[in-house]
Amino acid sequence: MTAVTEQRTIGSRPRLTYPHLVRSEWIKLRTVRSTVWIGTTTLGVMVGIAALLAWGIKGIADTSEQPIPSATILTAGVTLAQLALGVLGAIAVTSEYANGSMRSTLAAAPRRSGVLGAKAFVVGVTTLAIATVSTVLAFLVSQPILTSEGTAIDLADGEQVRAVLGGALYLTLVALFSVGIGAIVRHTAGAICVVVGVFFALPVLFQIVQAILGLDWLARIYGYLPSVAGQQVMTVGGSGGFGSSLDPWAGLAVLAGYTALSLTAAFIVFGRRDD
Amino acid sequence: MIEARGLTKRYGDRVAVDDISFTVRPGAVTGFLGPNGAGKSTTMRMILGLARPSAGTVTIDGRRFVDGPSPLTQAGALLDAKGVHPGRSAYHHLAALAATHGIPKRRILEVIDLTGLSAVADRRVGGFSLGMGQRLGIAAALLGDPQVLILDEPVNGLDPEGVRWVRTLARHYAGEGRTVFLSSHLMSEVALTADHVIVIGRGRILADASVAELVGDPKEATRVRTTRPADLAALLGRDGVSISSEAPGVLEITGADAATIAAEAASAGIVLLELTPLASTLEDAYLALTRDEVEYRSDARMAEEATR
Repeated sequence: MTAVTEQRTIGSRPRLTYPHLVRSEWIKLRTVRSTVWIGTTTLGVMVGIAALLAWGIKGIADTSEQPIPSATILTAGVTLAQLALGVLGAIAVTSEYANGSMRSTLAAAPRRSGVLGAKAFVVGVTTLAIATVSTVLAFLVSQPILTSEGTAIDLADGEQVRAVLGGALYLTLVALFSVGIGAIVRHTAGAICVVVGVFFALPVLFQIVQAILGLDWLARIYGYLPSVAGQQVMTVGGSGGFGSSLDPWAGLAVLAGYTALSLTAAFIVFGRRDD
Repeated sequence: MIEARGLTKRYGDRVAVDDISFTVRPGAVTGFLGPNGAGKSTTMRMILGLARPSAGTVTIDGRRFVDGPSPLTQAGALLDAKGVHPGRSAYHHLAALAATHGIPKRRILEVIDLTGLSAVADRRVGGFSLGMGQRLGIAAALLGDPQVLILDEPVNGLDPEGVRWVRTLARHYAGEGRTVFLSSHLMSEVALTADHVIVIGRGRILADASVAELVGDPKEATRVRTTRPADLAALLGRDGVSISSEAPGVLEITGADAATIAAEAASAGIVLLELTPLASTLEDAYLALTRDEVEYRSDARMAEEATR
């Protein structure tokens, strides 16, 4: 810190562009420990639960009249993994508010919609990658166990493939929904509460109230909750799925609608706010 | 060049910045001086588009900061030294900022070297001292080799060597014809570094002048110690001369210079034990300015209460 004279190799033409913003957000996401932790947790939960369930089937395969579809085994971890990836999406935004680095970010890149767009893009791609890798690994781990019991997943079966890939897409939409919530709420704890509430607590609450009151219209709304509708994409074997009357892809589309709503609201408030 | 016209920021009923206009010229270091809460940071955030003005405009080199194709080369800013993710290394923090403009790795290493952070660049920022955080913030401001440098309280937490370095850096950038705008609540720092000073208090501009002009205000006082203070006060007691006493036998006289006082005292046979012209400092000028502002505020409040 003694010399003032300096070389200046800032490159031929520095420009603030969307691809540059994406690169910047990718550096931010991969250089904090929480991303690594959340990625590892997701992987562990998805693979672990699939292996445990596959192994558990050994005990019930002979006695059960309706064997558990093997795709369900692969996607069973989604219920927990969605929380981990929801947190990833939320803190990608809220951590910048918590430590004040949002100011550094916006002072370097004052185009706010570009910053949020790049963040959502990077979180989306990262989540899709983590979820896909997790599903494939879960498949590779559970398959030998299932094959010996004669209930292996059939890759030629479009329904099963849809369920497995749909699970990865579902997780991606949850993470993107959470990016929006993070940008709207701005506080880590608050944003996580909303995400856990929407994807975890709300369906349970509905089920309890439904069990007590038994209202028809409540049951219909239940089928359109973000998590319930979105998880329809993982139904296999016409088993009625997760309590929604929606078709698998229609269900995922409903979740995509909620995600679009969350992100649209986020772009509007993020663009208008100070800091 | 930074140009603010009628710049105003309101938070609800509170007016943080009240219809201010000023110009920060290139080729000089301009100090932005004011007590805490005067509106310095809010003004700087509005310059950078981080806060939306309630009214008025502010431009950097003729356009709003957010409209430029390459903001980092247009203006570099140090706003908040703590504005860094504590779990990220200094290098990665700078790399993420540089990436927004496609600034190459070489430049990142240059600013790390320039700010003396080479030894700690790979360490997580969470363990940095205030001074190291400040250097990292300055490194970020320099990344784009900007035409305009905006530094909010740059010497906070720096050691004396760091303070001197910031001073040299600011002067160096101004010497190259760039615009340097730095805020401080330390008058002494601004006096040493700046050519020009904008003083702000309670959201309004109290002074916008060169350091020389501010210091040279005709408020020069002379301290006189004498055995017969009452006689001397009576002798000099006329229009345009004000006399105050802070200690027995010591007078502070304004409105008559030292030579006049000495001549008149000699002709009246009054012995002077001390005759010291008191040079006005920027600090005096600053305190005088802000004192007026405070008095105005309390007067207004008292008037309000009186009418109830």
